[in-house]
Amino acid sequence: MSRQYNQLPQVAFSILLALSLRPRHGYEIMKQVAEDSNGKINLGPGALYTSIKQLNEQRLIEEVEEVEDVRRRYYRLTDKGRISLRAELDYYETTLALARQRHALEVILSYA
Amino acid sequence: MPRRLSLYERLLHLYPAPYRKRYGDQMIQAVSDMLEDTTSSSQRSLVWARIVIDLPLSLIKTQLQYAGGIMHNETPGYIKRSGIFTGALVLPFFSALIANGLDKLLFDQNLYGSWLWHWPIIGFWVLWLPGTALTVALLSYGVYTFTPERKNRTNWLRRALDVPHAWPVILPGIVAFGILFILAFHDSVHCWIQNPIHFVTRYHQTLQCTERGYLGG
Repeated sequence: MSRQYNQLPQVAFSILLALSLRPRHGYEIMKQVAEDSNGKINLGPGALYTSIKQLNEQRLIEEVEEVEDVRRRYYRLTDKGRISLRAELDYYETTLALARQRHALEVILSYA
Repeated sequence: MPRRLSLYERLLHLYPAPYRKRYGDQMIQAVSDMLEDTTSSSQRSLVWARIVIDLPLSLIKTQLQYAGGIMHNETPGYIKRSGIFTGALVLPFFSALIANGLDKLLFDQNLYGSWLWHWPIIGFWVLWLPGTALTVALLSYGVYTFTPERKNRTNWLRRALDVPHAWPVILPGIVAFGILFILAFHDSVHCWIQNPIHFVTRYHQTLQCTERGYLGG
C-alpha cells in the first residue's frame, strides 16, 4: 500500500514513532514521546488519547487484545501505520538531505 | 483515590459518553501513573498544571469532533439543510459589518452614507434576513423536537435538549436572535433605539420613522 508522505501531524508522528519498537500503554507512550523529542513534546492524557482515537480510526494503530488490565491498554502499530511511518521518515530524510545540500552550497557561495 | 484524581474522574464526564467509556479509565490510569512517577510535591504540582491545560483543550477538540461526527452521520438532512440556509441568511449581516470595518481601516471612512446603510437595503440584512433565519431555525428545531423518528423514539424534552444533533440550527438561530437583540438596543438605529419599550409598543411609528429614512441617515 502506498501513501503520500508528510500527512501526519507532529503528535501523531511522535506517537507512531514511540510505538515503532514495541506495544506500549498510554503513560509509556507519553514518556517515550517526551524522550524522543528531548522534552519538547509533553503530551497530557487528553491530547494523547484524542490522538490515539484518531490513529485508531485511521487504522494506523490498534489495541493489543490479550491484556488483562482494563485500565492499561496497550497499543501497537498496524501494517498501515508502519507504512505511514516509513513514508514520513523517508520524507524527512529526503528533506533533510536537500536542506543540508543547499546549506552547504550557500556556505560555499558565501565564500566565493 | 486522591481527591484531585477523583475530581479529574468527575471532569471526564464532560467528554462525550462513547469517548469516555472507551478512554476514560485509561486516562485516569495515565494520570495516576504520572503522579506515581513524581517524587516531590513540586513535581506533582507540575503534573496537575499540565493536566489543567490539557483537559480543557482536549475536551473542546473532542466535543467538536464528536459534534462533527454526529452531524455527518446522524443529524437529519433537513436540520443540515436548514442550518446551511439560516447560516447563509445571517451571513450578509457579518459581511456588511466586515466591509464597513475594512472601509474604515483602509480608507478611514465608513459606509453609513452608502446604499448599503439605507432603507430598504439595510432592512434586509439587519432585520428581514436574520428574522427569516430565526423563524426557519425555530421551525426546524420545533419539527425536530416534536416529530420523533420511527427508529429512535424518545420523548420531546430529551429531543429538545439534544444539542449534539440539533446544533446546526441552534447555532445560527442564536446568532440571528443575537443580531435582532442587538439591533433593538443599538444606538445607531435611531428610530428603534431611543426607547426599546417605544419600539415594542409603537411598532408602526417605528416602521414609519425607519421608512422616512432616518435610519443611518
